[in-house]
Amino acid sequence: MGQATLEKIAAGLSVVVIVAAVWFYWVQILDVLELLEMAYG
Amino acid sequence: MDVFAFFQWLDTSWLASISKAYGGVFAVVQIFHLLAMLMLGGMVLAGDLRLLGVLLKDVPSEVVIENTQKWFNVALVVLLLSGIFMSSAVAIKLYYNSFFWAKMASLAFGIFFVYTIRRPLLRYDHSTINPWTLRLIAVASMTTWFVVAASGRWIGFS
Repeated sequence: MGQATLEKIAAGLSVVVIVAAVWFYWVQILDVLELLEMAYG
Repeated sequence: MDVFAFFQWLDTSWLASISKAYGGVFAVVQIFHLLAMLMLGGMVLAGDLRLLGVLLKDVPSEVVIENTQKWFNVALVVLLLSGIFMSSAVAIKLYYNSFFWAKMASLAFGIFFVYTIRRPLLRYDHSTINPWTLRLIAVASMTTWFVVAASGRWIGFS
């Protein structure tokens, strides 16, 4: 695989990883907020 | 092979016999697991923060990446071996833990990312790589290993 192709794959995959991680933690934060709301109104 | 069958086998294996019966052995292996985690995290941070231009700016990034990769490899092997041993003590419990699977998925992706994307690309002269690609790789790499570590820690609280 050439450098140009590898660069494109690396950049694309990196964006997917960062977005997926932000989404994953955002869902967890929402869960925590929901629990707090249930506990303390 | 059935995944659950593997966990059942692990739960009754000779590894499990040792890890369940000898708390001292488990503790020592766990220390190596934690030390390897520190080493892996340190190598990831040193390499990726260098790519971002935060650390070790007076050292060429190629040199930093080459040196951190060596110790990253060592840390990963120690982590995998000690992790399998530690898993054997609570294999069935882990099978039903969703954060264990989050950790395994992110770990598998992390290994794939390092050895098929990050390492091959960073073997090229870094000045010929788009700086934004380097930054994206660095952030994605740190994010991935953070998720691995955080999911691992989360296992204990879920």
